[in-house]
Amino acid sequence: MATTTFQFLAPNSVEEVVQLLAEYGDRARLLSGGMSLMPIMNLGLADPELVVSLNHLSEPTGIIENDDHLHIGAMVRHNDIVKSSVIARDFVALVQAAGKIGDVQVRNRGTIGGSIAHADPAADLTTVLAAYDATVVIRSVVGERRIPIRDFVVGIMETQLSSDELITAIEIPRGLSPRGSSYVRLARVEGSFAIANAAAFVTPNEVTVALGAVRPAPVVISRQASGLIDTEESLAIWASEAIAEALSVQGNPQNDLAVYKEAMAAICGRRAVSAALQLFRSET
Amino acid sequence: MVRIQTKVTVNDQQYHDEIDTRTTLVDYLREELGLTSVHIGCRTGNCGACTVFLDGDTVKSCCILAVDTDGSEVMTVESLSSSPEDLHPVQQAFVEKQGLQCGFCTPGVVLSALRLLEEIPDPTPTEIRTAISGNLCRCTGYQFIVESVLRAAELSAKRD
Repeated sequence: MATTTFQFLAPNSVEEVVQLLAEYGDRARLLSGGMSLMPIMNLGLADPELVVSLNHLSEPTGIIENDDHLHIGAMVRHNDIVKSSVIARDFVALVQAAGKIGDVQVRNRGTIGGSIAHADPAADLTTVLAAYDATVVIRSVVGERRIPIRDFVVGIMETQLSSDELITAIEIPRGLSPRGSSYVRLARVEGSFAIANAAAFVTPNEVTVALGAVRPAPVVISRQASGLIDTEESLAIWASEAIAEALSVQGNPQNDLAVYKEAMAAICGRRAVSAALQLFRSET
Repeated sequence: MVRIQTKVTVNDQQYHDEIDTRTTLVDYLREELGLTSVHIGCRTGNCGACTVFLDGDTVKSCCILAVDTDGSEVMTVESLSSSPEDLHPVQQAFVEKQGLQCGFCTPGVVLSALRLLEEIPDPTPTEIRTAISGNLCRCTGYQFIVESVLRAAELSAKRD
């Protein structure tokens, strides 16, 4: 049980939530699935003045297909993603990643918005969303703004989100079809945070790889117009070289663990590219 | 202390209590309602000993505020059977296959097994291991738990 007493409100509308955030700022904490915030509060590491539950909002809970993007409400739970045939059809790596988060009970409760806002460097969804070049939709009393997920995470558990803002949705651009994508992770046991993870996305005009758990934010590498003509071997060589180069540009590892994580991330990245290419080919 | 009126249905019984905002669901169920099948292992969402059904899905009740369950339905192992002679098929299977030693994790494991069987009535050992990966057991090494869930699937199929 949290040590310090706090106020608790569970509004029904996003408008009420952003009003409260405007008033309380960082004295308030948003509670969605609670899979990170509740352990932190139970351990006495956070003592908000106000907890605002998002679990009683009438929106944003849906997965909606638009012409140019797939809209996923911030309160969509991991298990909703696992079960979504709409997401599985075009963005299967997101389903694969959601299915690897924690365990059944965690997936029943945790939300995509909460995971992104928490911004753990090893988070499964953020890596995939970076590969898909997704956009984070954010609301405050001032209005709505959109930030690419690739710019959203600025440090370890640090994002561009201000204390008066709420994530309301994630938008994944539909882009060209066919699409092939894949998510690969290495973890000590099922349910552990990944030691390294990678997502790959292959479309007719681009191959993208995102690596997670090796830097505060996902490392994204892409190559134009190669999905159709590359062989699996040439793509594997490109992926190996591009991953090595990207990691060297973004700072060399400081210790043995970092060296190990980078080596594993490179393997995850190559495997993800290979699996995504195979899926792309099967759709062609 | 801040207390909030909270209406929650637990094992088909309605409760209307003023609950301290800090109270987690597991503490409410154990301390206020006396439902001691719900165990406290870690309070960090790792061990799964506090697993309960919340609105039809399994959750870790140490990571949910009791006041946040207003309007919800909670189900614990207590509702599965009325007496040792009237065990639920999943409970019966754990007895037959000795799917426990100390028993601390068992209520949580039983509920995770129940949820699995609702979704997949005839699971493979691999599906069972995935389904119970959120419930730590420090005694059995899981083998007898897996066998218990396989037996539970048989017993449930017979009952239907």
